[in-house]
Amino acid sequence: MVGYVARRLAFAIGTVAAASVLSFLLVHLTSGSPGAIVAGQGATPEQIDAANEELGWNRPLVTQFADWVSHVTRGDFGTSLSDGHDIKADLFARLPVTASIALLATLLSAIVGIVIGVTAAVRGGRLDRAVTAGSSIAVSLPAFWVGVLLVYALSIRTTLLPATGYVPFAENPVEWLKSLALPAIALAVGGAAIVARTARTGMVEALRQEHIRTLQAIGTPPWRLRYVHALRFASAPVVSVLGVQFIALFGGSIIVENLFALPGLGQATQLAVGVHDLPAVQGVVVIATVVVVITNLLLDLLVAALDPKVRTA
Amino acid sequence: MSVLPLDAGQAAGGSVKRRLRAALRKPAGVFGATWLLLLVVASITSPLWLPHEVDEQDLAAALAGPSGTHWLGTDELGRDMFSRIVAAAGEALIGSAITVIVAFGIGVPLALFAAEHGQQAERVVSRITEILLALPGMVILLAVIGVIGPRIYIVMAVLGVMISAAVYRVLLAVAQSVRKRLYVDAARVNGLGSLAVNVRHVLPAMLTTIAVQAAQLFGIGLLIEAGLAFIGFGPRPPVPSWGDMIQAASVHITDDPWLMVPTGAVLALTVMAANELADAISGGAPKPAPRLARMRRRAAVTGPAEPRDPTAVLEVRDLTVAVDGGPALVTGVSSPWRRDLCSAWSASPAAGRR
Repeated sequence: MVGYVARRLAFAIGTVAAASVLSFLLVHLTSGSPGAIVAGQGATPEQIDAANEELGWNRPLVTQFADWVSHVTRGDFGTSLSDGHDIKADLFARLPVTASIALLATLLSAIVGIVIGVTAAVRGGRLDRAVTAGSSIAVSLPAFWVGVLLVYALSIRTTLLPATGYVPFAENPVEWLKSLALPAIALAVGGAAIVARTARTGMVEALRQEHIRTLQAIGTPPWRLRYVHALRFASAPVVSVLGVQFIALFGGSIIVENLFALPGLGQATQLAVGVHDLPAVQGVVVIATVVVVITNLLLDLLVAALDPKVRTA
Repeated sequence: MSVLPLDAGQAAGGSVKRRLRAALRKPAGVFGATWLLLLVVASITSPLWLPHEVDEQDLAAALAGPSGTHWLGTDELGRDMFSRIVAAAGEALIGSAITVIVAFGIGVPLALFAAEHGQQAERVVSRITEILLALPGMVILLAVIGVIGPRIYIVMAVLGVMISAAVYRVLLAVAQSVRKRLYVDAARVNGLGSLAVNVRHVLPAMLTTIAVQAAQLFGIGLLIEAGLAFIGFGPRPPVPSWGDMIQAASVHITDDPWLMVPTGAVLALTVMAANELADAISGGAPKPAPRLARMRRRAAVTGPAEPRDPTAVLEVRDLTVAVDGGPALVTGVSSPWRRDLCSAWSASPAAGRR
């Protein structure tokens, strides 16, 4: 187990390092320069050059990289090129919104997907065919489109949930959940369908196992058989698909936040990308990678705890 | 935006030609192939027959519902929705196709290479692809747009590079199992070069999996492309795009909810068509095991039988115990239950259980 944890940890650090190098190179290997953005439109080449000089853009690439890394590891992402605000403070204020949406959506996908998938595998027949057909429709629906339809059904026709606005958790947990419910549901439609498919396939496989047959023969209650024994056997693919889903839903959240006017990373990314505010873009890449990698690390450890085969592999 | 629900499906058996032909006999396969073909033909020939120009405004008829002149209604500037949807199809399909081509252009050679060169090579390639898969893809795509601007085809190619890691992972398993087959060994013994073995013997056996994955990936590409356009990083107006049209429609959700329907439905149907085609080629999901619930079937009642042992309280003859669909676990148990045995039975741990 210790060896396994050490390997996953090394992999997580490697991934964050790769993302850092990637986002650094992406910004530095292109023809544009931050000076042009700081100096604004209509600036002379001399002004742009002066701005670049001041930002240290003209130094050797290796020096700049070392400098950037040493700042980033201390949590300093620099200041925005467009309006000069502190990127770290901005992104850290926004991260909880996006992370909450992604987490809620993943949780919802997991619960709904597992129940549906397990039921389909256990019941078989018409219900199973309906679930299979329904899930292939659900994965094809664009989350942002589903989001608009949800706004129409739940905020405009009825006033069950607010369409826009964010309430911090610390202020009012119930309102917080309400303000994030629509985006989380919109994302979970496709997510639950994918989890349901994986859970169904895993359960079909699990229910064919000898130990399940034995447990059934000695009279284990059906719910215990399905949700404890068989599901544990099917858990590795389900949990690893949840890890992939968290990455996808984090990205999806960045898209749907826009629709619900939520002050998350999506809004910041959209703004930064639109005006080529490169330090802010780099900051988003690094923070998003760290969040996604930590979540997947935790899920990996969960799989290892559930499935001894993984630990030794 | 669900990235990577790629699965190999049940890609065993049958040549890819036979699989495709079989897929086209299933309703889902027919639907998928027909819809995609229709869309491709419609978007290629669209300049010849589109009823309205893409940017032709009819402000008097803005936000109108479906009618004889505007089959799917009009948007906020009175532009014909049907014409715009068809006109936007081309770029959507090409963009997603670029992702698919790049992903397989990288993923297939990598899988063949790793399968051929054994553990060392496989480990190196696999580690790199794992890192690629662990990155937040959407954020990186946005970062690319931040640097080069919304040049959709290049962005979709970058997406293809990132997804090639997922393609590699699925194809590696297939390539490795194909390489273990005897005819591959025979070809190598016959002195065929590495390239010839891969192209003539390994690759053809992987084509079914490739076809399934390509169709799935095509749908994913469409969703991501539309998602990017939805937040404003699609083709620049007045060039229409599905994501941008859905965004514009969402603004009018209170005064014209219909506007959401046509574009969203066409996008969803196109993704669905790709997924259905993939399912049809792969042969569908595995069938579930027989039900776990107790069977409701009753044993045939044959009427009272003559007891063999007159002292028995209860007599069991030819008892069979079996799990649904499984083999019989106990057969041919016959025993008379006399009064002195009954107490032993009820005291045994099995009593009282189902």
